[in-house]
Amino acid sequence: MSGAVPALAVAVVAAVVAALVAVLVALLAACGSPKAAGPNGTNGPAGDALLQLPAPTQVVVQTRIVPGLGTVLTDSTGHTLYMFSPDARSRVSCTGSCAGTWPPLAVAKGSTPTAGSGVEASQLGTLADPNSGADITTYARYPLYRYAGDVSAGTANGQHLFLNGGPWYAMSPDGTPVVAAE
Amino acid sequence: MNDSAGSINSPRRRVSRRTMLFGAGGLVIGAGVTESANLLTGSGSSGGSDDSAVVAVPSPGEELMTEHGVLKRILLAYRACSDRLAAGADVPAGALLDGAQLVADYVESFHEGLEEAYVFPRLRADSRYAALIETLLVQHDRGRHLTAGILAVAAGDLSARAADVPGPARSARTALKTQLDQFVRMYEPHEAWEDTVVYPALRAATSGRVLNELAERFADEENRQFGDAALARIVQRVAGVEQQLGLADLNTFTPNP
Repeated sequence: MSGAVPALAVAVVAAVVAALVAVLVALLAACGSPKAAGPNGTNGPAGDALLQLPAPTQVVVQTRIVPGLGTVLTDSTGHTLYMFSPDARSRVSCTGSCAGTWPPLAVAKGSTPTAGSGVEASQLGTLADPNSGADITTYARYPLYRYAGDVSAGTANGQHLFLNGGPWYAMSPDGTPVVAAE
Repeated sequence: MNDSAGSINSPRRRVSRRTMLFGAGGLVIGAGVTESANLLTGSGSSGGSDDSAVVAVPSPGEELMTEHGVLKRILLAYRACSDRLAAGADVPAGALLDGAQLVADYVESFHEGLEEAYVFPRLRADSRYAALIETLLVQHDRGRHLTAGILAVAAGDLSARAADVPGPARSARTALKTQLDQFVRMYEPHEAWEDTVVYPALRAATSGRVLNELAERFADEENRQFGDAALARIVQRVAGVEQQLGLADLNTFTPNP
């Protein structure tokens, strides 16, 4: 019996120490985690590193006629630019996986998007982009996105798709969604 | 939408599943219990199902293939609906609508979003996969448009009575059958290529650290968009679709000896 008591005490002490070590390890892991969620579910002001989104210093917004839709905004490569209804009031609600399907038209911090022919420069602006960590180009205060399904320039396959919780529309040069056709 | 309550957008710090594993690992090491260590790594001989705090995070490929399993079951439902349309029989509109809505929400918005955000960009610059990735992107788009068409038609009259009378309802049944057949024909090889080429390529091209981060991200996004126990609830909805179409008993697919 006399030998059992010290053994029990050692076991209890070992268990307490183990529990303390576990708690400490968990806290350290949480503090050092590179995935600590920042605003909008990303890695904070640096953006979402897992998305690997580029943010060039020069962004030009242009126009192009897309069959069936008329004149729409495009990026410098002729890819149609879209707006997302839930982004009303100058917010970026498409983040994470949504930003894969709808890559934001990102621009480097401190840079200003340029208006091409037919684009109203006064409508252009920027908002902080939680995806790239840079800024997202806006038009009429709506963030602009491309669509992953537009693998070629001059198409607007994302027009009027209801995806990621809302409808998507190509943006017209007058700052309104194109709703006339699909 | 990405701003729901309890999302990863929440400013409060989350303790990730990997962090929990790390902490649990510390407990195991501190206590010197090697059997529990085996549970953490999935090895050992105890079966390892009695420690609910220790759950391995599925790898990105495993997670995506599980989601493909959901899609496969919906493809079976689509095929059953197509067979009913061909036979001039009733199609349970609720089953078709719920199946198509699952495709829109879970497969096309979520699963394909994960691929387009985190998988395809990591392979597209590799000339061995560039053309394949482009084909998969085009197919995602075609699928989304087919789903929009299926949802629009499925809300109409799909009864056998409509098949007998020339007119818009019969035309709609014909169009629906074409859309369902096209969807199934495209997605069977689509997911097979992703399972056998794309996901292994992702694994080969990505460091273990990033794969772990992707696994965490996939789990976080699923919970954020669909809540806790998301997969179980999605599978329950699929089972409901199967029930309405007489597909719920797996035994019925087994051939007689």
